[in-house]
Amino acid sequence: MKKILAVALSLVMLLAVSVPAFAVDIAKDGGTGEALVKTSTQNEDGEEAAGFTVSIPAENIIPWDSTETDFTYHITSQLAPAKAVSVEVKDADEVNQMTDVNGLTLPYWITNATATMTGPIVTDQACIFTINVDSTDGWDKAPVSEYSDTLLFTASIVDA
Amino acid sequence: MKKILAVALALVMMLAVCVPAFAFGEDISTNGGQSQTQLQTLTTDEEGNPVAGFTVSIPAAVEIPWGGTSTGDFLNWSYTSKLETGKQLSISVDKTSGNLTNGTDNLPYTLTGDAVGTAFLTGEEVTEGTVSKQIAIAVTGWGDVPVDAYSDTVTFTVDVVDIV
Amino acid sequence: MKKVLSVALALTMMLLVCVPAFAATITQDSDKSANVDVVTKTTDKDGNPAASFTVTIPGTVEIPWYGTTGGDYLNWSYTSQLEIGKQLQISLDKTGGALTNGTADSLAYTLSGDAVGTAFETGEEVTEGTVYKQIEVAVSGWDDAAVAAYSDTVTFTVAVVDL
Repeated sequence: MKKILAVALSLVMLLAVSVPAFAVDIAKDGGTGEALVKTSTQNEDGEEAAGFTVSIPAENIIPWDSTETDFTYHITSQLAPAKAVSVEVKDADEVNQMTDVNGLTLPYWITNATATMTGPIVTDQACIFTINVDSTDGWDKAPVSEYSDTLLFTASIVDA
Repeated sequence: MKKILAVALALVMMLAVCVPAFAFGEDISTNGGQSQTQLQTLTTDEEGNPVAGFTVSIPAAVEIPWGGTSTGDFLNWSYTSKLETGKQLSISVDKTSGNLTNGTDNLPYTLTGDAVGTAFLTGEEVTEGTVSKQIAIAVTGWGDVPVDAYSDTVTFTVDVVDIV
Repeated sequence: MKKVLSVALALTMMLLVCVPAFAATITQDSDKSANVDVVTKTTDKDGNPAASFTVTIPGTVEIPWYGTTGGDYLNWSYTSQLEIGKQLQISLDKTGGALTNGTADSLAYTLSGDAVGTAFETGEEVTEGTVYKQIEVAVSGWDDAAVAAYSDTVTFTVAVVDL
């Protein structure tokens, strides 16, 4: 089960450069006039077209005794030029401990916590982060139970 | 003698035939006399300005929403003309397709409609009011480029030509 | 000899005939006054008829495209010195028409004023100087016609008629 988190794009809205729709009149024999054809960065409903999607699995299962467990999420983006999506994964409460229902704890740390795309356009790019649990100070000291924690994914637009 | 008389007679006949042509604006001073006035329009107005003219109106800019408009994107232009007898407008644009660019990436587009590819001839000297026209703009490759403002310039040229 | 005498006699008889025809003669024996009529002629000293008139019309009336704001007019005038009981009668050959340029295009126009439709009669033998008249020319359809010089001819006819 994947929860698709569509992270709202926090772009600084440029003040729309509303070019006045003045007409160019040609009234001279042999005269010329220019019409500028240009795209808007908004779609026909007025919504900003630039955006991205980070798809994260709802649950990430760590097998008992696994010292390194990889988890994958996916990024799709179409941004302004020279921009890219960057995602950081961290413990929501920044304690880096999984806990069970009885309050028992199991420490862990995250590697490959940050993934930054190389350009504005990526399609379903797979990103891997790793949950690490030390065997001696972690698994061996923890009573067998179901330990869990909440991870916070933060996506931002950075310069590519 | 006969020759002299013949010449004299010929002269008299010629003079009789050379009745002054019925000129305009001659005073009438004989009973039953007639004279003519010519009514004539000028090709200038009362301030002396030439009347013949035309206007072709094109938009300064055509903005296309990202992804295009579901019902199509169009460059709307129009013209009016009041030309001299036997004249019409010839209107053309400088391209049938091109690339919208942001200086780095491109979005290809094509144009279709009157004045694209072949010059559009209005076919008449005087239009009934303003005649409105449309050129369809079809942009492709929206998903392949970063979201940005891409643009290109389309140039219209208008000539007054003979109606053939 | 006979021929010479007959010619001389003829000449003498002719001279006798050429006696000035005096209207009246006053002598020492007649009345000391006599009536003599003084009469004008209707011809001048060269024998030309004195009665005359002049109707003056313009050669061309130029109308700017779209017309003139205050109206367009054909200005004409007349003077007359006619015999007793006479007047001028002036008429035009049309009340309106089409100005053309030699193609299928035309501009319709109407005329209004004295002498249009009904002949204009001056009502007097002698004018006090020149009498000025105006005929208004109203052109329509400017927006529908190609720009060119359109024209038509209007003919004035003048007759001397009884008052």
